[in-house]
Amino acid sequence: MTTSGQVSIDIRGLCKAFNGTPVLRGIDLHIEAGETMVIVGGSGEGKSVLLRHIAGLERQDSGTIRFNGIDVQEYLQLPPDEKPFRLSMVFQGSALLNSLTVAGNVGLRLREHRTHPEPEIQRIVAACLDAVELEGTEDRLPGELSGGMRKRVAVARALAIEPQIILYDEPTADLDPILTGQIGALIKRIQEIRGTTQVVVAHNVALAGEIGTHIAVLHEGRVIDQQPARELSRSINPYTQQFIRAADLRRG
Amino acid sequence: MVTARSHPQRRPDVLTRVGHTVLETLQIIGEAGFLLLGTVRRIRLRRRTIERTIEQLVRIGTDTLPLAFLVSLFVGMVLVIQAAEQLVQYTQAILGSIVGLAMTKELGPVIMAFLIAGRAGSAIAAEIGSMNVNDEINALKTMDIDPIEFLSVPRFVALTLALPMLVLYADLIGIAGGALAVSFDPAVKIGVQQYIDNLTQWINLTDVFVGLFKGLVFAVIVAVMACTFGFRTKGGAEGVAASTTAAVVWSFVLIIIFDYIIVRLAILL
Repeated sequence: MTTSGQVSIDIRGLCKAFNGTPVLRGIDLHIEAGETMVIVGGSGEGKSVLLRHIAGLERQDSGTIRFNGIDVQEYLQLPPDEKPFRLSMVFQGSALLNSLTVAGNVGLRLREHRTHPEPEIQRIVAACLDAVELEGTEDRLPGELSGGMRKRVAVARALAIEPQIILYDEPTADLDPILTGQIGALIKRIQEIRGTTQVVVAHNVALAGEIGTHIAVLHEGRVIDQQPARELSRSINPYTQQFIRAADLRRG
Repeated sequence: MVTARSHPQRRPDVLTRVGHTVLETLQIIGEAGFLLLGTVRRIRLRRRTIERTIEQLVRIGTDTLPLAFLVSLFVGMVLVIQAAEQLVQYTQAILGSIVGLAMTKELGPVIMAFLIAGRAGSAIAAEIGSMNVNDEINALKTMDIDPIEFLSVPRFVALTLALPMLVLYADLIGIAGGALAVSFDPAVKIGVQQYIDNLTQWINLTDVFVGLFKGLVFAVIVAVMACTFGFRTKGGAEGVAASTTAAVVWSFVLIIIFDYIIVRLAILL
């Protein structure tokens, strides 16, 4: 790990096929510690599959994923209290446990691993809900929340363990432009204040430009373009240009 | 005129389908076996596990009591009326032993197991199945929370505690139902006292324990099949529905098979 406790992610030659159909065909991607990498691309290009590999939810056919040099499988084998850093993931559908309250969801990992005494957990939960502007919702059930609120609870749950890496799978999918802006601002704030390494899978190129430090374009299972966020529009890659033009057209 | 020839997709032949079904069945049995071992290995006396187990016990056990009462009462009454009809030319003095033995050794465990499989087993399969398709189980994994310890252990322990208790409850209510039928049904020519005397003369503790042991085995079957199908759910709502149905059907079939095995072993011993 770097001296500041930040974690870099290095992906080399990552391949994965489902039922003989290749989805990832040799992904090479380096994500610097503390940066927000946004992965964009069309539907079915393997963006979410890549993210699930980084989270250790899928096992690759070949290739490597390393966090500060530690292989992802090696990292996953470590007991929770021996892991040198923590990883959180915000799922596309929020993936909140419907039987638990908002506070129960946000504090779930802390309670399960008994890392903190109960009053401290309650303080952390309140602080995380405050960070996503959802104070006062502790006792509500996920079913009573709007889609945007559920997304923010999922972000609060991710923040509760003070992770060094946060992965977001389509964090603004199905949200209106105002909520999209709010979630985008939240992701940007997390990177600025906490210096967390973040990987965001998104369709929204405008949002990617606002929140990302770098943007990677995925096409046919490969990273075909990788640019600093501000320079994406100047990319000479034809697919990237086509993707940006299509996004501009959609925005009118 | 040129017509487009359609090429209907070839259905796999009978042998392929049989082979596929056999492999699928073996895979389910293997997964269920591993889940059973994994669940038993993870049973620990942790405060959070105990809390979740109590929560499940309330859902599975307490909420089933009214239904179990009704079913057992009427089964006891039906047994008396059916047997009384058959025994009218011989002797109805053995009605107590018939109801008592049938309830404690067979009907109590099997009916309660079916009830729990249909009610709690389907609910568990549907709950874990929808958690699976909604990425909630993946969310647990990313939080370093073992889904088997978190989901399977409390449900398994709660079922294995609840079902034997429900069997005992069903035995008592069924026998009481029989006594009720004896007291008012015109086809029955014996009194309640004679029914009870005959019952206590024939039923011994071994009969009750065999029934309780069956309840324990059936609870393991229901818990493991419900969790197995929940964890292997794929797709959306359709997948959840298919898993729920499969969990109940498999539980019913296995309950009957293991019922035979236990009875056979009990007779041998």
